[in-house]
Amino acid sequence: MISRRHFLSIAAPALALSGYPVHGFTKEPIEGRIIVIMLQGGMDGLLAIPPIGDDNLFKQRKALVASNPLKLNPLFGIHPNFRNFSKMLKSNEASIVHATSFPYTGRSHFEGQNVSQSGSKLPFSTNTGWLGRAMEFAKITGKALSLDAPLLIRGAPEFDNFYPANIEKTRSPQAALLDLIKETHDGDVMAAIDKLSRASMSGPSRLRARDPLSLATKAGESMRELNGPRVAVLTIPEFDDHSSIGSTTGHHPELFTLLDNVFYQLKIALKEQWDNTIVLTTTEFGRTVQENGSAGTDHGYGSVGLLAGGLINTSSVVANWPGLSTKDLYEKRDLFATIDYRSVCSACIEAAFGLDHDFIIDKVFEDKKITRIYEHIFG
Amino acid sequence: MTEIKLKIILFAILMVFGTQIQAEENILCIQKFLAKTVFNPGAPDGVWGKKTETAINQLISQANNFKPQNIKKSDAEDVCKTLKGNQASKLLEIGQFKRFPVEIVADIGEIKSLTDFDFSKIIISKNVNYNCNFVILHSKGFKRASGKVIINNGKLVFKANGWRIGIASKGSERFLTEEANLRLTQNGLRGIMPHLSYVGEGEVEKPVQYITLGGNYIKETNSSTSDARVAFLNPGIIGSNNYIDDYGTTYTFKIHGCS
Repeated sequence: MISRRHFLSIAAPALALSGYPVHGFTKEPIEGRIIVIMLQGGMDGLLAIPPIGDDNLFKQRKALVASNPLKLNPLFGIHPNFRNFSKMLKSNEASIVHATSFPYTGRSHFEGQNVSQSGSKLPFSTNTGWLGRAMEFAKITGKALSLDAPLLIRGAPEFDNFYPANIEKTRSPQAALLDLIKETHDGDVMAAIDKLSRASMSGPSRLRARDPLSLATKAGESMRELNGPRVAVLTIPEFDDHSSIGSTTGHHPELFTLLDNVFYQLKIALKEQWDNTIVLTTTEFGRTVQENGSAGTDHGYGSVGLLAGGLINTSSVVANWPGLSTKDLYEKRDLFATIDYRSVCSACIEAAFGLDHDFIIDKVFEDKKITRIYEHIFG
Repeated sequence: MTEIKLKIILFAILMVFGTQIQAEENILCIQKFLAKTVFNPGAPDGVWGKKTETAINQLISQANNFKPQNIKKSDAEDVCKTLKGNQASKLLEIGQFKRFPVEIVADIGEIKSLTDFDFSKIIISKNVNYNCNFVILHSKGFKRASGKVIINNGKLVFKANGWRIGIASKGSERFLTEEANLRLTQNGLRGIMPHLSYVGEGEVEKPVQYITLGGNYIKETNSSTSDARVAFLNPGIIGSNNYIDDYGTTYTFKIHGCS
């Protein structure tokens, strides 16, 4: 019988590596590295980083606040399961952006995940991802293997993909399916990946290569090599907790522990390259402020982004806090997102790839209204 | 004479109110700048109130890496000049988002670790001090890990531990030394320790598991052991613990060869 903890560690995570520098093509070695951890399902930002200084938090969701959050400052705390991330905060290697979201206010996972990966305002309006486009403009390219890729890094010329796993030195029966899916889907990325997940869940031999901690280790070890990839994308699914989301303990807190250990594992595996790295989380949307009738939360708007890496100099929580009284909520139910998360993505591209902010928002995101947040995260 | 007096009075009025008008313009300049940021100065009325003072101090503090500021009404002219100078665009950019410094006051050690274990209701064998060897055996008899452990007032302190776990063994030897949190009790070992799984060639390492010990204790009595030193120990203290990992495999953690 498979334990719940074990299940969480193997439930369809993925890793994609990309951006190998090519001798003779890239003039100067690109030192910066970007690792994106996609938290699929919609992470509850208020449970992860509770605004303990906002009295309305306890009025709105008394049962959904951990009993012992670690106090970060008078306004914000952090869930106690983020043990390693808290240490990174204390040692000025991590930061938090709160009340943030990609510009998507709908409630669809498919659309939300597409927007968070494409960086476009409208879902399914482009076939490439913001990170892939950034890599292309930064001239980070090279040879790689490919089975399938998340939309996020599409646009990069080539990439290596460990989803579900090509590291067992065998061409699995699923590989043909992956190729087929790659050739046939046009935009409906998440549906394809869902198929991929189901297909690759069969057979115990696949489990080992697909847990997030192993993939984090693999990503870190590959990226610390001089000519290793500069980009990795990891996914952690299962955040869609409509029921029994947990508070101090429970399903979401278990995922926090997993995410926390992924951060730690990446740091350990990257070794000295941690200093050149920024790790950031993305999620398609947040969750409702109040709990529903099943002790869970439903699809919402604003959430939180967690960032860590040696490129950060001073830890802080960046937030234009909108408040949690009912009148301050989006549609009177969701945390208002007052920061466009694409600002955060732009800052990470600027820090790691050295591209200019104005260039990034014009060419990568095609939206000149995106505000620069670089100084707040990396300054 | 009257005309001279009138001129003096007018001059005085101009001096007083002119300065005041200038002061109000400086405050208004600050307020208008702040209004373009997220630092709310209240209504731009040219009056130096608490909101204006708080907002400008917060902005300048944030621009100076949270260094506390003490900007007063009397500084309004200088501040206004700054806001109109070559730092204006930078300050405007900084003013678009609020940063809250991280001021973790709790000791990180107080945060529950992966090997935290509540020993409060368990009687630890506090007077037990020995240098021992340990071994972790697979159910089929394979030696998975071995090394030296000191039992210090009932606490297990690992001095060396080597794991035989295939390709993943590289750099993994510190886990027991750094993270294991085990105690010896009258009823056997208690606590939590990391466990590393064996990984074959061509496979990726498995994540570290955290195993809670406390059941399936096998006592090594005076009569059942060939270790002469054990005969001098309290029966029931030294022995072995069986445990099952997340993949369903049984292992035995055994202490032996004490001196």
